[in-house]
Amino acid sequence: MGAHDADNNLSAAVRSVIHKVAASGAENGPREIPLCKVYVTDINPEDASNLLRILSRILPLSDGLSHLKRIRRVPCISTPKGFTLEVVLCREETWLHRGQHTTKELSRFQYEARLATVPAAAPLSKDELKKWGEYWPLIYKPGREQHTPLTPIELRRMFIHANYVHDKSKEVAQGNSPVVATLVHPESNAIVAESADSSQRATNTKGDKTIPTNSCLAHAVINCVSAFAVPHSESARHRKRGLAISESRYEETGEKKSPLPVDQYLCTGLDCYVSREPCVMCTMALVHSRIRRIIFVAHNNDQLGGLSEAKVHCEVALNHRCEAYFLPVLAVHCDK
Amino acid sequence: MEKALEEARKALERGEVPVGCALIDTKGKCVAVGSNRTNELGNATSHAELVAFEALGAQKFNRGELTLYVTCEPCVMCAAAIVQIGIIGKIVFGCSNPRFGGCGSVRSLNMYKECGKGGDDMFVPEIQSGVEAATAVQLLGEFYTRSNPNAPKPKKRRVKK
Ligand SMILES: [Zn+2]
Ligand SMILES: [Zn+2]
Repeated sequence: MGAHDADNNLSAAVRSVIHKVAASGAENGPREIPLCKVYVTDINPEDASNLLRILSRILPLSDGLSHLKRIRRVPCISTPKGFTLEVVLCREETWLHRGQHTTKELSRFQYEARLATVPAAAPLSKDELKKWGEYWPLIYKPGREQHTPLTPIELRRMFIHANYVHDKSKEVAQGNSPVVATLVHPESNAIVAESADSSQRATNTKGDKTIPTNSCLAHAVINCVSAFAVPHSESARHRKRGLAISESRYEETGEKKSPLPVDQYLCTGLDCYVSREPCVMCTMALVHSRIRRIIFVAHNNDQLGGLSEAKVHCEVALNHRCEAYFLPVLAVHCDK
Repeated sequence: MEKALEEARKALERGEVPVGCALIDTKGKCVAVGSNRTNELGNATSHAELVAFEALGAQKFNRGELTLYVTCEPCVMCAAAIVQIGIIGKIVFGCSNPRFGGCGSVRSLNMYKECGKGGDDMFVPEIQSGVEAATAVQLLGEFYTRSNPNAPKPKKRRVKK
């Protein structure tokens, strides 16, 4: 059997066991429209550009309403132009707390804030855009949620990285949870960070009811994200250190330069491999870090799973979502 | 809550999303404070709550012994951390967090009670919300006003090597 056949067999074996966890939003069929209350006002079309400039400064939509169009046209025969314009100001809560401050800047425009009900999250399909858009015009970014099947090369690389964290998890020092996590730069296939759990949970003596606080949250994923984190002042130096890890373990890339862009923002574009399904804290840490994919090897019997149970990675209310895969590497071994 | 707000103001001065917190023991003594440091450390996990937990060092506490005062509803990550660290008996927060909130907004703490996992290692605290919410929202509003494209960027540009 040639190397090529072996590759094909491996990717086929991985494809047969890998399982996408809780596909994001619209793939699961029609969703209920999440709604929220916002303040809106009618405005003079002549004021529009001025007012929009001021609003984007004092009441930016980036505060959780970025899926809404700021302005909409309402047909109205009694006006000279045949329509009026309606503008979103902000969330109900924000208006109540910041009303005094904002009315000062808005006072030179004729406005009358009133409550309106609008979708609370971005639509994930053309269908949702149409239905949800009846409440208020929405911004739809197609493609972001589309599922593209994994390629054979991707599958093989995923297997190697998943196998790696699985093997390494057996070497974790006693007293900790046997969990290891890596961050992988998918384009270069390089491991850019690696950490084990160091939570020391098991060292709590049974009789002692107090809890030592210094390390119990030091899960593998949190450690890994922190190891990769770069304080603004020392970016270049840290990047080199990250590269040293990847070079020693992954010669195949043959790259001498760091594969990461100079302006790498948190973990954008990276994949996280972890030997056991991350807890809710770790999953949300990865979502906050803008991770691309999470791949785990075993389910989590000790903690509420952030992916298969709490489904944090595909929560539509969050500004970032990612893919998650369950890849039981031992099942792949059996198939070979 | 004054201490937590004070921490939030410090975060705002450093160009961070202004969220602060304080950990208070049963005698009313403040044992640790924390403020958001995500920009400074380039680490999305450096939220006020986790910064405060780290500041506790190797001290030991009883289950549910401390009260956490935090200016904004803890996010899903911090809420999970609070439940897992086990020493927080009560969360008092200011404004709610519709985008990331883990104490009712996006997720609720009930999921930890219902899942049947975690056992003795965790403690699901009680929650009090809306304390000094207006001040917390005001601070967040100041941050979003400052970080608009016209204002000078508080973030430092990364140095090319
Ligand atoms: Zn965890
Ligand atoms: Zn948080």
